[in-house]
Amino acid sequence: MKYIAACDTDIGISKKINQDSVCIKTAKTSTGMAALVMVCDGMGGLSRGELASAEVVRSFADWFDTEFPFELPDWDWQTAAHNVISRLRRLNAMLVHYGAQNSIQLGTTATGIIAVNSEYMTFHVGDSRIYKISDKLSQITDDHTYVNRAVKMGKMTPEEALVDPRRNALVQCIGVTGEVAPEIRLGNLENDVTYMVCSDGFRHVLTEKELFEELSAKKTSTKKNMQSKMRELIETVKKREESDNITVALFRAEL
Amino acid sequence: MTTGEILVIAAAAAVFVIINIIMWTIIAKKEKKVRERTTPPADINEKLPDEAAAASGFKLIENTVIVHTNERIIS
Repeated sequence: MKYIAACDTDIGISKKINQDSVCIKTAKTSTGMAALVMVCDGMGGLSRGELASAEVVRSFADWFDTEFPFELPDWDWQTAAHNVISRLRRLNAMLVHYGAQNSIQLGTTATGIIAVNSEYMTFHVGDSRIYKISDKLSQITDDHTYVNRAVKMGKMTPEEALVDPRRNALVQCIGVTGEVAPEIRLGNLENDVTYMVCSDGFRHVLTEKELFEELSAKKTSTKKNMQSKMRELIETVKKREESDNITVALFRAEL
Repeated sequence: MTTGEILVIAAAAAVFVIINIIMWTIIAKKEKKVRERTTPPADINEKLPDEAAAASGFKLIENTVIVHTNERIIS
């Protein structure tokens, strides 16, 4: 069994600071392989978004290095899901408290994959996304945005949502709302399937067809291929004048 | 040396030996109690080798963390 992962991030063409944070970790364990792939998009409209995204990524990265190896012997996904939700809620409370103390607002999305051997779990808060790229492209997270909720409730059409001025407004993220309800999904890893975690800045100006064609399993079979494809797409995004920071991570397993 | 003096020296030596025996017995008991307090219960001892083995088998291969601030929030 082998895991392949890579990531790339870019400040973009408009922003003065990159508020996104990203983490990829893979490890060999006594039972096989494990991985953490995570993207956090610090809130552009809020001050100190880069601090919020960094704190969340560091928290998960530290957990992977120091606590996760000791959790592996008794690993079960229900407990893992419970622990991830608790961690995200603790981080939310910490950022809300820090913001209140310093009279600032800071927030971040938190979207990632934890993999152990042939199984994985996704966790998600905000409008970053995870796509599964196999013989088709599927979005496996739900956008926690005002317009997505309105579409689901039948109050708005998908076409209206695309041009609605509130299309970037989040209904939940880490550090702003009092309560967060992280979205957790469990699944099995498959051969010839690539998982992509990205910030909204990466996907806004790319079509699903482009994502599918450029990041197919064949074109992302090695770390080097992944890195060159991600960089090509980031340059395309910048040429199309996306104003946000741009961050993407790719992950695949060879079982 | 008179018989009385010899008896006094013998008594002093006997008292010295008895005091030493009592003292070392007390020290040994105290050390035993400390050892009992610092030794983890049997069930924890049994779990440690597995966890240690898992931890020792854990080897990072890819390790990339990209953040854009050195500032930390101390909670």
